[in-house]
Amino acid sequence: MNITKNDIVKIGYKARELVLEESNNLIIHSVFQNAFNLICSNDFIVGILNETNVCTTQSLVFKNSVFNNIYDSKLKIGNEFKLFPLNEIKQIEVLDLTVPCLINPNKISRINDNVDKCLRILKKQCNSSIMACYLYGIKTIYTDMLYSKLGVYELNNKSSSLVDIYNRLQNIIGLGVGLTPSGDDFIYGFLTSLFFKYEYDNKDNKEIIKLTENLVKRARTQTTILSYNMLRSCINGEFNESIRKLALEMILSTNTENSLDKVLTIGSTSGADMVAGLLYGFKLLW
Amino acid sequence: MVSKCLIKANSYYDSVTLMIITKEVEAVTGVENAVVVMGTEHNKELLDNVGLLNDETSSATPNDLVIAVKLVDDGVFEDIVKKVEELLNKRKTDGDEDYCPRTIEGSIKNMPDSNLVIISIPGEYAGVEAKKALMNDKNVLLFSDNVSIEQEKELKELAVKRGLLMMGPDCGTACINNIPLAFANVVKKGNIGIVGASGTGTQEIMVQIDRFLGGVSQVIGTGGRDLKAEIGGLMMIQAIEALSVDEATEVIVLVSKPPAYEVAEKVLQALKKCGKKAVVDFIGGDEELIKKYGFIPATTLEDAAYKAVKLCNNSVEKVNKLECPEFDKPIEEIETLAKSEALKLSNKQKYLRGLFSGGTLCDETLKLFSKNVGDIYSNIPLSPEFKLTNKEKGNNNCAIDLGDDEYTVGRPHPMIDSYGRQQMILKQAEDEEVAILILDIVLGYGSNEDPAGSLVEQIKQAKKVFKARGQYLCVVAGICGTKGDPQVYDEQLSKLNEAGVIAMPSNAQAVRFAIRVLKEVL
Amino acid sequence: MSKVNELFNQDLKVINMGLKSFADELKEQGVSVIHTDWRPPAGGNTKMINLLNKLKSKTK
Repeated sequence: MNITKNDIVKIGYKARELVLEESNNLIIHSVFQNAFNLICSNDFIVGILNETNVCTTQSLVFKNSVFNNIYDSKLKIGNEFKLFPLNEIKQIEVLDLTVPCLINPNKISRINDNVDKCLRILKKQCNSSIMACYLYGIKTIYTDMLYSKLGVYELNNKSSSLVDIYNRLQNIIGLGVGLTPSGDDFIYGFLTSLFFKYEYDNKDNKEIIKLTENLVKRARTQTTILSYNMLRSCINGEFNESIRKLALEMILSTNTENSLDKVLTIGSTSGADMVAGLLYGFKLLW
Repeated sequence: MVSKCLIKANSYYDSVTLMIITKEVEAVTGVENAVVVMGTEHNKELLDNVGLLNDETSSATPNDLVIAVKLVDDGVFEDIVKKVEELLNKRKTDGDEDYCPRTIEGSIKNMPDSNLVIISIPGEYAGVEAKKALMNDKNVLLFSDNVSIEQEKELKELAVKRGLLMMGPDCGTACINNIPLAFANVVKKGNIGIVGASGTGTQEIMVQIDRFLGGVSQVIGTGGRDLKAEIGGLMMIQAIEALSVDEATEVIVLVSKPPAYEVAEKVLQALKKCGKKAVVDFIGGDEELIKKYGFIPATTLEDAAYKAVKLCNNSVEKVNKLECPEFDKPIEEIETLAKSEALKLSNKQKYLRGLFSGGTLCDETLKLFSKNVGDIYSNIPLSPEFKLTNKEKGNNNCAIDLGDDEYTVGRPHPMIDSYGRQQMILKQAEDEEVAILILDIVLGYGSNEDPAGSLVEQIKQAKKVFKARGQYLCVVAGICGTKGDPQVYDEQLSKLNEAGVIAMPSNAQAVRFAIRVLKEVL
Repeated sequence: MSKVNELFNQDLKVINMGLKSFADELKEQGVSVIHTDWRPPAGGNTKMINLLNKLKSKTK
């Protein structure tokens, strides 16, 4: 597919790296209505998205018109997919999805208000989001398992150690509905909150990187390849643009409605499960 | 209870698809419980907890889709499998035979010899796509409305320049090379060419031509605004010019709401230049102007069709002296029927209520009624002082266009979905002063699968309510359809008869009959 | 001869964009038709919903 740098709206650092280094080894893995995935060595997935989607470290967002042209060229799973010329791609600036620098202890009181506000909005998602139901004690067929593996939400002890929290999260990898099962989305949201907390406290995040690496290692065999890639992208503390924005706004400002809406539109329940994890993290860690 | 599962190995379906599958499977009778998840270890643990784990589900891997169901009996399982496969195939996008491109460019690439583009996307985007089609030398049928008049002008000017058809915006009916397009009827092939700025008006003329044993060569829609001053009849004139050199066309029919004088002149001049015999129906507009140009005006849509068919084998002078028969059936029969209906009405009953899916048919009714009886209200009134005062139920004598915007917010158009009309029929039953209900039953492609069938329950119910009060509800329907339409005409007719509806073969006849009944009691 | 008259002398080959029922009905009649699965640009679903509300596809 012949493209110019102007055709690409956003690109994550890992997607850029993979497209450049594996240019002859990108195979079409799965195709959806507004996106498709390429797979290359070491089970890395690159998501090719149109503008309605949220950009992650492993995705590339094309302008809608360009995406439609690519899509019309009949994508067949298993075929190679070439993007060229590589020089154009080299010139594209990568989207910063790292946790931004934040040191401002005075703002912390706002966080609690924002968390409660978001929790109220999340409650409306309880008819479809398993993890929202978990937070609200609404019974689903998953409730028993979640209580035994994650603990009853209200009883979650704030003083739990990080290792303990990670162990409990590991117990819900692959659990739930969707190509990124609910548990994984929840973990993703939680990790966002965790990495933001370390940045906020100006702490060295070596410890949580190690813990996350271990969790992700388990995920390799315990969940879908797409979800594994999603979790793997968290290892360096980088998160998708929408949840990153939401987390930032929850800490710094009162106006989180738009960002919350944007995250909730991810997948059909993925966004809500991610928000549930994010809020769980805020309640537990902040 | 039986637990069964369907596994799609290495399958990735987007979350919307998975949700739809879950909902559809759960909705099947005999399904106690359904879980649709990927085959991860923890999900298998869950399935075990709810009693849905078996050897097959155990063998699933994290990248397999598992559809596990608990059934009352396992006979249902085959249906479920079929349904799931149907849903999954519908959403496949990796290039099989029903592959649909996402853009017009993609479609043109896939079908380079295409000659017509039909556009029904939202108006704010439709204009751009229509222009792309024209620039690629394709004729266009633009069904969408909410396209600005400035854009319409630009598109039509471009079409004229390139010698193409730009039917619309807001063009609901066309029939090119005898293929019905959008909302249109199956009509015999013949030598009458129709150019219409009105959807149901065109449909009624088409079907009446077929009924009078004539046929059509081409039916070209122009969209509702073509004869406005800003557009100046661009497409009607373009169509007339094309029909003038079309060998298959011997007679032309024009139909539209009354245009501005200058535009009428322009159109009639073009028609004159064309040199073929023509019937012009400006639905209640200036007849003198039409006669001045040597063409034949029509008093109703049915009349336009009648005269067009006669023109095929007769001179203009001869046809000018002809009048379309008032009714198909002998007048004595009609009179007897009207009298017997009127006798059943009680003293209080005096009003006619028209419930229409076709705007032009409603308009024709208003015109016939006000000419022959008196005041009639409507949401599309002939003059502002007769604007409907009771939108929910109607008032006095009235005829309502239920396809108008205010009645279709959040609901499909009444030509497709009868819910709105069903409710309106029931509401009329509450009014002791209602004597006659008049309905249009529009058949053809695009329309409801069973227009008559979808209304008979409510008609029967309404009649029952009147009977219980010691009254009688007279229901008259005009069928706009042909024997060739996908809804079987004779079946539609018998459904109406069985419900006690007096079915007439045209809108004009239905209105005339209703007026006769009303006049007996007034 | 204008393109309109050319059209009158050709087999109809249709590109449909929008309501799928139009394409389905043409297929039923044996007409060559390709359906375009058009999507509105980022967001913008409400207008499509309004149009679909006005004109629901037939269920068969």
